[in-house]
Amino acid sequence: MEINTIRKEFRKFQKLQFYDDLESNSFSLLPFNFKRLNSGRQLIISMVGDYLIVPKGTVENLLKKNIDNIDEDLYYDLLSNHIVSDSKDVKSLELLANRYRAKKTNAFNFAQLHIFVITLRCEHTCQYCQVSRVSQNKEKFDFSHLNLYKGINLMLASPEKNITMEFQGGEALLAFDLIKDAISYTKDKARLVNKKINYVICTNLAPINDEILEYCKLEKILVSCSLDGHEELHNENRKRPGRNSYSLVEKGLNLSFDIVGRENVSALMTTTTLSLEHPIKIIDEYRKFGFNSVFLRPISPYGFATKNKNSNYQTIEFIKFYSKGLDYILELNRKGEYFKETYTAILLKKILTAFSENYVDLMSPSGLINSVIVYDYDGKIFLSDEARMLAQMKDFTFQIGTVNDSWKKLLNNPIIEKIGDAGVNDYMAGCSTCAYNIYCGADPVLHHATQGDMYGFRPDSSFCQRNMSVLDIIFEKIDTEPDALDIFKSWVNNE
Amino acid sequence: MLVTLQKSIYSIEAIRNTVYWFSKNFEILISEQSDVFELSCVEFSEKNKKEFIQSLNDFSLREQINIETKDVKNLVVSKAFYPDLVKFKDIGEFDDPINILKRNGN
Repeated sequence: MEINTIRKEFRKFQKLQFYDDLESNSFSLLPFNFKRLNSGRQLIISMVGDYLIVPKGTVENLLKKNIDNIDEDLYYDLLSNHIVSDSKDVKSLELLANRYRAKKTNAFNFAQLHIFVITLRCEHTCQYCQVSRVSQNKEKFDFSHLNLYKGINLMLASPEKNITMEFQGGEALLAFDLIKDAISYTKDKARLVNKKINYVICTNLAPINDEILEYCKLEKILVSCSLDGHEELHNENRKRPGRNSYSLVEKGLNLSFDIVGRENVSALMTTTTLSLEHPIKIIDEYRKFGFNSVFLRPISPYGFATKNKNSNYQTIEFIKFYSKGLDYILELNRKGEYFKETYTAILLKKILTAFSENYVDLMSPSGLINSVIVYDYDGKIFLSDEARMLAQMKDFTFQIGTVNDSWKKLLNNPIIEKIGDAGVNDYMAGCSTCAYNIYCGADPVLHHATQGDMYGFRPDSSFCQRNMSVLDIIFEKIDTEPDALDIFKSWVNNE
Repeated sequence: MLVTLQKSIYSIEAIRNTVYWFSKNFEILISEQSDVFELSCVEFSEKNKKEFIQSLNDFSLREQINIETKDVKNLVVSKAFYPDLVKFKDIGEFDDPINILKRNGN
């Protein structure tokens, strides 16, 4: 009763004098960073990701504690966005610590995504594929039942209660019987340890049929397919005998929509040199199939992909492609069509909400171990899909063991400790002073692959260049296009 | 080209951060005299020098922010990751940010 009385009093406003006094009080800075926008205004970002676009000279005024040059409304914005504090009480930092913890939630998790490369066999010979292609007939490139069950046992012995089990290839559906065995085994075991498993099959849709889809419907399996764009582009990127990849995707997508429902089907594209000229055609292709989003995704610079001329382009070329695509998507939204770009939406969730997004590339501490584990067809265990691709080039740096090992042994691998250092951007050269670091990641695997150093050299890093450019584009739009923020908010709220 | 920077105005941290970002395209040598840092770069044009100084001024501001806020940042991060280890208030103490309890004589 007494506590309730106190709480009620907490809710009361203070007398007016209390707020007048606040203005004359001195303030102190809280951790923030800034950068200059093209308009001359300054973008200020707090350590928990709250942002403000402020007049030129604001940062300088804050450092000089020149409160007379700061507008009253701006001062209260700075207070409420945790850029400055008017309290000397250390307890006022409690909220900031909780906000920071919310932003870094992933650091407290273990992998929720467990990828099983069920087979390396594939009937496509996509020019950008990161793994070497193996003909359909080599059964030795499938997971053995013994290794598969050992991998599943490891997955079920990991701490997370909600787990996504994703089947990849090669072409995963070439080993459909093995997938059925895996799911049957997992279902029985998961029940005993009280875990909820969500299933995903990644496929090029070529082998899909009614039987497979009926099974997916029964087991509530999500279908994730590859769709690179319009027919000419898709067939050029994704070669197969008969040059009919697109028509198989078209047929497979429509069949999937009919049987498992649109909400259980997603598509992913990969940008090649051939794609760079066609952002609008690619987006229109996704619209044609009724999707309300597209992930304009650059190629991963790993494995087999690095050897192909159509897989090698400069980051700046990708940014032009992305920028043109985003402009087009914003125009669609202005005309009343809800359509979003997925990478932008991931960043916007970090920018516009108190939370983060479980996207491996954009996590600090790194999402390796915290987010994803990959079991390769031969029983090897890797820290990410990209790490597995590297292994195709005989670089096993990020292999932590095999399905024969225990978690204790796997997690004692020295590479885990190295990633602990190289996977935190707050204290890395080039990142620690970057205004965007709370939205960004570290990606030690990419830097190891492209620069031979897990820490990486930011001025020459394609990862850094891409993320800085994309974030620059987002904030320039918020600064100069009056309706952009409302559209971006609708993407975050899915409305 | 030689750029001379007063030590009383520019910190070595701000200079190093600036040089880091320019080192993709330029080889910049830093040397130290009693009151100044000297930066030499053969490839620098006047335009490059201007861009370098603009960037240096921003990194100087960032360094000032860092000096003023790094203790708070460390405290907040420590509290976020070790909430039970770093106590902002004694166990049992009621959180009272606007001194209600004190004013009520508790």
